[in-house]
Amino acid sequence: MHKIEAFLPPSTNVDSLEETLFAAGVVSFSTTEMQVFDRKEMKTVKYRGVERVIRHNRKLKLEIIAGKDTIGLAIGALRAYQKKEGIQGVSAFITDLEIFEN
Amino acid sequence: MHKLEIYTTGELADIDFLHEIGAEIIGSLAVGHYRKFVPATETDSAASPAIPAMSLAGMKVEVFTASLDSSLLQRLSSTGSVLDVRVHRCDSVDFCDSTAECAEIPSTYVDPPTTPDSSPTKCIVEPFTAGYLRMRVETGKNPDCLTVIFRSLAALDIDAQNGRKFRQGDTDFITLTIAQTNEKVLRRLQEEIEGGMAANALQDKTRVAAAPVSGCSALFLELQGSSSMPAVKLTAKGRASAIRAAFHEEIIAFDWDVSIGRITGSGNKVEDLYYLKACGHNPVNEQHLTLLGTRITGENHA
Repeated sequence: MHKIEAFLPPSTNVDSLEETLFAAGVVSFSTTEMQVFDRKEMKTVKYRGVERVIRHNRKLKLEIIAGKDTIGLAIGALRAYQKKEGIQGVSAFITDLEIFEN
Repeated sequence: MHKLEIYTTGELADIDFLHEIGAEIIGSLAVGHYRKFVPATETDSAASPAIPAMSLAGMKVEVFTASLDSSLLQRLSSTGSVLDVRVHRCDSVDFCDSTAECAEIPSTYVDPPTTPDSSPTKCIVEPFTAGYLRMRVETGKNPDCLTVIFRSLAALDIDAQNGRKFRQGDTDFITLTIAQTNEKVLRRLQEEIEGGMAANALQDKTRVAAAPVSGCSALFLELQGSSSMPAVKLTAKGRASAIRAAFHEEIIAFDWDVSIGRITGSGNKVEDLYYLKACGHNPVNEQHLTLLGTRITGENHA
């Protein structure tokens, strides 16, 4: 089993993405809203004459669990969603999981 | 690449040094993380053993970084507010546009001319990823819907990779990932499915999968779930579309209704799970599964 952790903008339409991912064969899918520091998205803004560096943004973190056979399809589904919505700068990471038989 | 999970009782500002390590992502979220510890006491432990206590961390910080050295871990362990640190190995996924896999998926499917929608069934096929299409079927509550779909797929020799089926109110939703094929075959598939779902259509059709499925091996049917929501797990090897069509043909014969379906598999392997709506006059039992297996393979599964 593998886990994909992807960071998308908070405005992501989770319903259509969920349908796409389950059709691709993922086992489970969860979302969390997080405060994220992303090196690529640091910006400096001026507020009342004072410059401030904004380091943190809100992001939607997806945790997707998929089997070895379907992980490629899950990544493909995320790529297709990213292209369709025109989302730039998606960060995603993949981890191995051990299966626990209950 | 490594992922660090840091459970802290303080704020992100207490571990601000994390911003200096060149991490890809640092994220924080509020959690309730409990850790048991036994406080050191000066009294004789035999007379009055120390009572284990619980520490609570209110924040979890996740760090994804390519560089991980022991000095960072030492600094984290010496930080008073850090309760727990876990390290996992991971890899980054490339979503860059320049890779060949991200190229535009050539679509052979053209939207059909719009016609007045007289049928309550909708079958939509869209490009999905390279080599695959996504088919979505929406129809009125119909116990035969999966039978119609898999029979159509088997007739046109199209394999379904993965999918799911669920029911919301009076509507059945089926989503399947199918292998890419040409426009003519896709149109026929849509016509077969939409026509097959029409009321009483199945009563006129003869059973297509009357004969056992040739080449089907390693068939295993397992009864799961509870008596109020039984589930049948189907695993087999062979022509996936034919095996599923035969399975659902037999489901109709037993008068069972699949309310939730999870379709998985790869290549010639089938691994599906179907939750059946409890049928009072014909509850699911092991004998049914034995008979089902015999009918699908033509071999005695007793």
